[in-house]
Amino acid sequence: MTEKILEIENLSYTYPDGINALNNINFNVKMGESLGVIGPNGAGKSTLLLHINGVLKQNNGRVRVCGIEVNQTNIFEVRKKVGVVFQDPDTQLFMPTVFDDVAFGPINLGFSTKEVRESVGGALSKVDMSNTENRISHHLSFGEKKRISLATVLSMDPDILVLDEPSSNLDPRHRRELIKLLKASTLTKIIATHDLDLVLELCSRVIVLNKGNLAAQGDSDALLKDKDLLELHGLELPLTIKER
Amino acid sequence: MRHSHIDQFSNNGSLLSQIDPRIKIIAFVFFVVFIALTPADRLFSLCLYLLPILVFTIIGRIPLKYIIIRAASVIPFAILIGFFNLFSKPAGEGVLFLWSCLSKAVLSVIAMFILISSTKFPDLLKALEYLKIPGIITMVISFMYRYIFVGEDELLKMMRAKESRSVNNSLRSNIAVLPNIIGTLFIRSYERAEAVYASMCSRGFNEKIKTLDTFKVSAKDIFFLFLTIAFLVLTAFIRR
Repeated sequence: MTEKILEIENLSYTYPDGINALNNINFNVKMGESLGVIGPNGAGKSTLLLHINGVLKQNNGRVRVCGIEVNQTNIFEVRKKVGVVFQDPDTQLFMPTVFDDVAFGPINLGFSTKEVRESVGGALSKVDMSNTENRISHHLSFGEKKRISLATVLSMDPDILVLDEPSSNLDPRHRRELIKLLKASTLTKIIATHDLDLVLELCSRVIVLNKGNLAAQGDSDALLKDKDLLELHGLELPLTIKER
Repeated sequence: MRHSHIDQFSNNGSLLSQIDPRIKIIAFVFFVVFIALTPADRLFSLCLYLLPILVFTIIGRIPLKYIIIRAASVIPFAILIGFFNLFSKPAGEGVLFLWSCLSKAVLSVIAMFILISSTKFPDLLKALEYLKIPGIITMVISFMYRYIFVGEDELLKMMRAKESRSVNNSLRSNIAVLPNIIGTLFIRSYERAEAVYASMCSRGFNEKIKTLDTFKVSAKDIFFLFLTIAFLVLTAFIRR
C-alpha cells in the first residue's frame, strides 16, 4: 500500500468575518503524487493550502502530514515537511537579498552554516538561478522572482511542495520553464491553479472545489475531459483538450 | 518599474566599499559625534572635517556632485533652525549658531550619505544588528527597504487607474481623491503584511530573523578605523 503523506478529514473553516471558506473537506494524497486543486475564484483553494502547514487553524476536522497531526504543538515539525509557495512572489520574497531569502528557511530549521550554504546553492541551481545570491529581491524580474520563490522552499528540503497559482502572470516561456522544472521534481506536489493545461501536464489527480465544498475528485485525464462537470463549477476544458 | 539604488557605490570595488560594514559604522558614528561636539567658534576645525570627507569620496569612488546634491537637502532645515535663533540670541551668537548649525548638519549628512552609498544595504542592516541595535528596529528597516518600492508600484498603478478614468484632471479633483488612494494603500499594505507574515511562518519564523554572519575584520579595516579616530582626536586638540 502506498503511504499517505497528507490526510485531510472533515476539514471546515470559517473566516473571522463569518465567510464560510471550507465545508467538510475529505481527501488524501499519496507520497510522490501530484494533486491539482482547481475551482473558480473564491472556491477556497488558497484557504485549503494554508491549512496544510498550519498557517490557518481549522474550526473542525483533522489535517495530518506524514502521519503527524497539524496542531500548535508540532507546527514546527510540520513546516519542515511542507514547503508553501505563495501566489505573489513579493509575498514570498521578504528579505533584502536572494541569499538571505533562500537561506531563511534552512537557518530557522537549525541547519549549520555549511549546510545552509549547500542548501541555498543546491536550491538556486535547481531553479537555474545560480550566481544570483547577492541580487536584491526587488530588482528581479517577475519570472526570476517566481523561480527564487520556489528555491526558498526547495532549500528546506520539504516532503510536500504546495504551490498557489504557480503560473499566474508568467509569460509563455517562463510558464513552460516552470512546468519543466516542476516536472523534474519527484516531490509530492499540491498545486492550486486556474491553469488547467498545467494541471493536465503535471498532476495525476485533481480535486474540484466550489464554494468551499469538495465538488469532485478523480484522475486528471478523465476529470479534465468532463466538460459538463467543469462548466458546472465555473471552469472550462483545458485548451489542449479543446483543440483535439 | 525601475527603482534607484541607495547603495549604488557599494559594488564598485573601491577600497571604502570593501571595509567591514561594522568598522565603517563605528568610524562614521565617531566622525558625526566629533562634528557635533566641536564648538561653533572653531571654524578651522570644522573646515578640517572636509579633508576626510574628500578622502572618503576618493577611496569610495563616489562622485562629489552626487554627495553635494544629496547634502543640499538638509540646508533648508538647518537654516530654518538657525534663523529662529538669530533673534533669540545676541547678534554675534545668533550668526555663529546659524553657521554652526548649517556646517554641522551638512558635514554629518555628507558623512552618512558616504556610509550608506558605499555599503550594501543588507550588510549595513546586518552590521547594525551585530552592533546590538535591537532586532525589531533592523527588521522594520529591512521590511521598509524591501517593500517601499512595492508600495510605490501600488501607488503608481492606482494613480494611473485614476487618471485613465478621469475626465477632469484638475488639482482639486486630485486632492479630493487622494484620501481614498491613501486609504486603499493602507489597506493593501495591511493585507500584504498579513500575507508576508504567513509566508514567514511557513518557513519556520520564530520571532527573530536570523541571517548568516559573513563579516570578517581584516588589518585593513583596523587601519581605517585607527586613521579615522586618530584624525578626529588630533582635530579636537586644534583650538582654532
